Amino acid sequence: MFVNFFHELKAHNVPVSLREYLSLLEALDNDVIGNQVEDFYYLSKAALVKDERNLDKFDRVFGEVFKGLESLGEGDIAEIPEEWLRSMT
Amino acid sequence: MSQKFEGTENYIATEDLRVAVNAALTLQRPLLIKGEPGTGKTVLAEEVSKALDMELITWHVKSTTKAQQGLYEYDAITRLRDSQLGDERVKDVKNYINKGKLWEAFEKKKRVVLLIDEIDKADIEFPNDLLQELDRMEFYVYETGETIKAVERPLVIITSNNEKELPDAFLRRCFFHYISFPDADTMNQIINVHYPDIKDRLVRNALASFYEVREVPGLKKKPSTSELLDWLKLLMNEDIDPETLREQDAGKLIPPLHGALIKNEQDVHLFERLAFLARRERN
Repeated sequence: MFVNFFHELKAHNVPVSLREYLSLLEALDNDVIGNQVEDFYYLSKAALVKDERNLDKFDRVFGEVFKGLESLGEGDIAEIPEEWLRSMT
Repeated sequence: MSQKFEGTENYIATEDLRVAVNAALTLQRPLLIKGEPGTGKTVLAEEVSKALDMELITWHVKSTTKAQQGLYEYDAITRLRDSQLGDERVKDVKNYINKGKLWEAFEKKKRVVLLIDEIDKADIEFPNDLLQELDRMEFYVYETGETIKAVERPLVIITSNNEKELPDAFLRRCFFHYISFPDADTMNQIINVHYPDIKDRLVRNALASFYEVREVPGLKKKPSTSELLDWLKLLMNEDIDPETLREQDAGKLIPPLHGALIKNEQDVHLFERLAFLARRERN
């Protein structure tokens, strides 16, 4: 889960460690936040960034990795035939 | 842990702060708070303890504070004196162990908030010395041979003013929140909480000049939230007419009662110079 995100942070010189990444997953596992993208952004920021100088870098990487996530508004969801979904399970 | 922190009526918590507090609360890790002086770092711990109905234990760190003092101190001098006086208490070493704040927090039956205030004041080894204790929430007392273990792991809140860098190993174990300077909207909410009946116009004009003051280049100490609140209190007491705040006439560049906003002699001089220049341009 989110391994790509973790590697992107590393590649952009945000000092993240495995330990911090695991605590992020632990927090998700414990339902610290609901299902909103904003909350996930706040949580990953609190867990992974420990220096305010890295906040900008983090924001950039987050924006790149999760591009388009927040634009999934109610009206944008296309009508998908039920058979299609069933065939995926 | 079903408790969640949602902010209180006296404290405006932004969404990201709420998430950070709840993460620390659920995973029982320390929460490190940084931010400009006066943005409410210490107040946060007080409000969290109030909102969650947990007792607050504060440990103020100074430049001379040692990590050991938070655990316990062995008072050898009193013991030596007692032994010379033939006091009975001298036989039990326990009588000479003074409990520190960490010990105090560990032995509480109910979960508490432990605030380690201004951790960056102490020397660089201080956070490292506390790593094990905060991680496992236990420590060993050599003099008596007992291990003190937390009954209920306290919620540890640590504040730092960024005077020193904190060691990486320490940072990795914490959740981190940076209190950024509140924007005009949040500032309005904060003022409403503290002075609900303040005149609307006064607030708007005061805020405008407040942010103007913050933007003056070369200020040694920019005014922060707590100074703004003090200043508003003064303006209310003096019943200053909102319009005088707007006036940008000659010599009025310095806001009224500026002593509450600008605390530095050089900054006041800077302002007077700017006011002088503004007057000259107009003439």
